[in-house]
Amino acid sequence: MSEAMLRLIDVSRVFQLGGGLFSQPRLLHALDGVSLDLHKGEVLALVGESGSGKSTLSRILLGLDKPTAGDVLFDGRSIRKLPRREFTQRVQPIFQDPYSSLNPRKTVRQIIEMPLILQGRHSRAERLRRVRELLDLLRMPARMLDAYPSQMSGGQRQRVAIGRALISRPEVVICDEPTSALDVSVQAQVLNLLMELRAELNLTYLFISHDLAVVEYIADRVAVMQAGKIVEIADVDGLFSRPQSDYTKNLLASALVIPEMADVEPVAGQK
Amino acid sequence: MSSPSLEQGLSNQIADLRPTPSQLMWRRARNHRGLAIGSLIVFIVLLCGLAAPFIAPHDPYAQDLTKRLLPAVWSENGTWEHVFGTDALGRDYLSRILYGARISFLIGISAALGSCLIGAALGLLAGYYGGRVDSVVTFFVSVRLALPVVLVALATVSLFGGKLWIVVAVLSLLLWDRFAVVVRSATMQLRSQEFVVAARAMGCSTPRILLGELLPNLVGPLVVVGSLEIAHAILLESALSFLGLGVQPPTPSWGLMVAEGKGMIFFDSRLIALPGAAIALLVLGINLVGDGVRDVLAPEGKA
Repeated sequence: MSEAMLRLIDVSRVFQLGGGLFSQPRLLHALDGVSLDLHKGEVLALVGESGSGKSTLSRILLGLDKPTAGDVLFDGRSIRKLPRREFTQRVQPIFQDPYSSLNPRKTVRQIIEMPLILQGRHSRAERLRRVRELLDLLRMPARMLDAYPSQMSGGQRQRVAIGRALISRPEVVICDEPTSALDVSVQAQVLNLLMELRAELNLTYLFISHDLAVVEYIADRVAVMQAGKIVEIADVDGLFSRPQSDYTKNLLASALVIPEMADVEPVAGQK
Repeated sequence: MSSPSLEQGLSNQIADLRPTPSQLMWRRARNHRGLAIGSLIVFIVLLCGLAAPFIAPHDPYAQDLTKRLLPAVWSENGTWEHVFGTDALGRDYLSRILYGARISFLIGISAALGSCLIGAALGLLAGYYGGRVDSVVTFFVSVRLALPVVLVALATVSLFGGKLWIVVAVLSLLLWDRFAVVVRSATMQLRSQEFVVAARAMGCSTPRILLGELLPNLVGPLVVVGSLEIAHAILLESALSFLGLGVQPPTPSWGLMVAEGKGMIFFDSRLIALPGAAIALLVLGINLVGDGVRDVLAPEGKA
């Protein structure tokens, strides 16, 4: 359990904003010395407000961006030195918006088998067999193979996106707010699916979210980010019952308002 | 009893897939009148061109000076032997017009394909990379727009001669700007979509993203611009041939036929009217198809 799949060591990412020939560029510290361990088999949730650096962190973990300082170790090796193909096979993403994360011109089958094609060591028949297996696992009918994303509902699309992430049998899945674009009823379905798949396929999740209810439901540990730093990291029970930092207390307090919203009078002019 | 029926209802719902994008497209295409008329015109002209060797009554190159300037069948002394009459060298005019369709299509389609290749490649690179690459491509587009087409064509053709492939090459190099502009802006919109980020995160190489992920999404605009550029190229070829800078005689090109007939304009207007009408008809047909295809592919943009 204590084995770290992904380990961030003092990772910083600084963006230069503006700055022409004569003006000094402004510096934006999106990540400021973040250290974090993602243990094998756990679900680590990353919470924080917009602009706290969650997305930058996920981009770095997916190899889409490079840290300005610090290093990311995957399975004990720096991802700078890891071959890209091996890394992408073992770490896969699930994105927020299933309406734009699937290519509208491709069928479900073409979308899901892409990671296998990139690996280039599976025959056509083998790829098809694995896509079928996976659709089964995702509880989608096999007829969906040749459907286009525009023919499917949001939940179905997100399941296709999950399928694409899982077909290469990765060890780590980086979920960037995978349910925030979905209806509440569908959110539960997708979350349950993610939890079942995790048990079945022995996955490790980094789960980025700002929905604390979802986090409490799914996570083992929670890391709270603010302004590019990790302000608190604790087990999910500990964090929700005994938050340590002021920021976390604020975050929890602001989220707890939501259940009471149902009783609030509708705003004038809104029915 | 409620739960099985609910399950049933759910699975029925899943079974009713929404129509595929292509099914929707066909539905719109079938109800589009302009598209139908345009395709009919283009189809007939294309058929004439393809079947020219079989349906043309005479050899379009065969000169017969004893039969110079015979009138068309509807004139006083016209005969069915030469339905559209003959030209100043005694060649059968109908046959020449039928063969002329081949030249127009050949040049129109190959020039559009060539310029599509250049324009789409530049537009994709500019739209995907942005920044400096974009500046360079935009500069090239500006330079291209500043070039006077006829002058450049004149210079090139007088340097290298009026062979068919040279005309096609010149037109390809002069008509790619619209492809580049359209593809560039469409690519910029697509680039920020998550499926492109997803492809990169999965480890797709840049060529694979450009050709496998982005290009299929650009087919619509490419087809629309392409069909309009075919019409553009056909018109330009006619203009160049008319000026004597395009296809060289004795090739039966409609523009060339108009040029050859212009001396007779007051005596035998048929020599200009017939090829002129052929050009106008074909270009009209292609433009109708182009507009129709745009309406079918992007119904929301229909004004």
